[in-house]
Amino acid sequence: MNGVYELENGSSVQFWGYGDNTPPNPGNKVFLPGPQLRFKVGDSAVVHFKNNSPEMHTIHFHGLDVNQANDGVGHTSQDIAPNQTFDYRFKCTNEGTFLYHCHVLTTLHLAMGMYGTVVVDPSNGSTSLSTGLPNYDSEYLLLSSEFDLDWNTNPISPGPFHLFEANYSMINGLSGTQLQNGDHDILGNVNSFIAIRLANIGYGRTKFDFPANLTVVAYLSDGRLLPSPIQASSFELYPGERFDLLVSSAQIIDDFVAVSYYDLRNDNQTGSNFVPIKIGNNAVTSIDANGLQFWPNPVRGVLYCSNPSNESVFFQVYALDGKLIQEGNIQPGLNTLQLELLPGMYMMKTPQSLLKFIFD
Amino acid sequence: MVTRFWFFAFFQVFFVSNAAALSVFIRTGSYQIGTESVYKTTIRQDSLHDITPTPYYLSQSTFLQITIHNLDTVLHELAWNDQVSGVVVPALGNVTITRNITGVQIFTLFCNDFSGKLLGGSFSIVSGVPTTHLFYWELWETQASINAQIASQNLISFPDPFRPNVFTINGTEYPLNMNDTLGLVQGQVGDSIYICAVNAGAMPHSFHFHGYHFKIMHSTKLPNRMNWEKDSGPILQNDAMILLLVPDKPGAYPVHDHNLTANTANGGYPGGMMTMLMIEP
Repeated sequence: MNGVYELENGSSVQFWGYGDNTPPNPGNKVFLPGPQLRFKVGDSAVVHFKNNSPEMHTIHFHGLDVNQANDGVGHTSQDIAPNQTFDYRFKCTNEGTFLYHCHVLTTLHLAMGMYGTVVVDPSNGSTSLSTGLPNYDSEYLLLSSEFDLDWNTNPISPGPFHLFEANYSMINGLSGTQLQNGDHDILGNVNSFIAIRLANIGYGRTKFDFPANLTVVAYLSDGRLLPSPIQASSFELYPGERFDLLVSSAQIIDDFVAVSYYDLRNDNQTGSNFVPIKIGNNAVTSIDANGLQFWPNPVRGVLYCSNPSNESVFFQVYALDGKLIQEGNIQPGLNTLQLELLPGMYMMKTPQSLLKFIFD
Repeated sequence: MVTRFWFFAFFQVFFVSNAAALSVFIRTGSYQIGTESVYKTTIRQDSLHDITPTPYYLSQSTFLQITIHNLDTVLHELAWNDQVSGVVVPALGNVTITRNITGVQIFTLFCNDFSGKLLGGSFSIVSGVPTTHLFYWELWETQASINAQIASQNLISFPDPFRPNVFTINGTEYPLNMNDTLGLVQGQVGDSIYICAVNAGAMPHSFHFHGYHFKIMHSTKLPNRMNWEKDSGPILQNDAMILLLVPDKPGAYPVHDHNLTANTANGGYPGGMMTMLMIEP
């Protein structure tokens, strides 16, 4: 379906995308990238697909090695016509990071935004990239992609498909200052593991450069364990590739992951983005605009909060699906917020900020 | 010690030096690829060859003598995929070179002169790979609007912007390359299928396999990726890779460049660098 994408400069263009009808998302809203699908090894996945658009579409599950009938390619399985439905079925056999995208008139449909990610976790429910690897405390996925904004302006006749020109570079559908508002920071603590999943659904090469004082080790690529882990400070991803990393640091870091985009035809750089990465010392992990300080992150039962003002501050805790879980007031001074949550990622909303934290 | 050395030397010569001689021919010709008529430089085993590659297969270590005949009226420089400098073959002349062919790998001669490089001249010797289920992809792309200039030596620097619109596997585009038995991957569940992927073009191509993962058995440019299991990955310029596919299920699956601007033929989708994996039960 069509969606409206707000560019970094505040103007809007059209994109095509996938949505989901899980509350509170209305069935007619699409996202860039599409909703992340998450399974465990051993799961028999069923993805109900309804095509609400006037065009043919499919879902190709990139890297999940599904059978031919569920491969999402029109001429070998079937296109899904407007207003038609199809249940894609496949078995999740390997841990890792995967992609999904439309495989109809693919050069155009993918460039217009019809893609998302699939994560397959270990069967034992551990928070590790793969059974036997260390548990991570927090997890992030960086999906690189590009727009040719001329195509988004005029997708009906974008011109010959080989003339795609990447002129708007994104991480997780965001670009430039959109990544700098504090909501997209990679957060962690010293001497703990952060999982970072890298994926490239664009048409060029993407290079991720990590801070030099961060230890970065790749354990998987394309949903398979590497023959031996690879420690490096930068990783290059060609179209369709994924790498799953564990990063850690023995010292506090307030830096960024630099992402560079290159055109494969001439190796010219077409864009860049910077994703903040902050490794804390478990003392203060987030400070909002009112000076509220929260710690630690991940939270294990108790979230501490320091309120420097003389007034109480209303707070709400939301699950990532938007469901309100808990609310209350932060009193002046030191607060001990007893949270009763299931393990996962949550948002702490105050009048001045929206902070992401992990409940372990 | 001396006795041991001579025994070792004798052993090496006796068992490694199967000798063979081979002639190959360089020619730049005009070919109709889809809607475009373009020039391509080819290096093949027969002098009257068409655009289809003719890789040479060796199952055991061989000391190979190769005589390279240049049928073009311009000189060509050739270089091996694992070396930087090469040999000059004069216009309408020939040279003879030698190479010890051993191990599981591909030895590919690429055109290293400006026009021959952009016109995708390459010839491969495939070593140590079982030929029962062996397939070969020579990847090459060109920009039709400047292709004739390249062939006539009137282009003296790399085109910028470079906007190729013809993307080929073994000189043909999808879907016409469904008739190319060298590149169309056919086999059965459980077969060990080897695919030799040689990039004779001027840009990397990132191939994605539907339905299966493949294992990288050899790569000249990315040797650190040996034994990686992947579903997507780059085949860099002048790389020669051996990929192993062992299908676990039957099916007809696409395999294509995931830089989807290259999965096109003169701007139309689907076309270009794509073929199929046709796996029977």
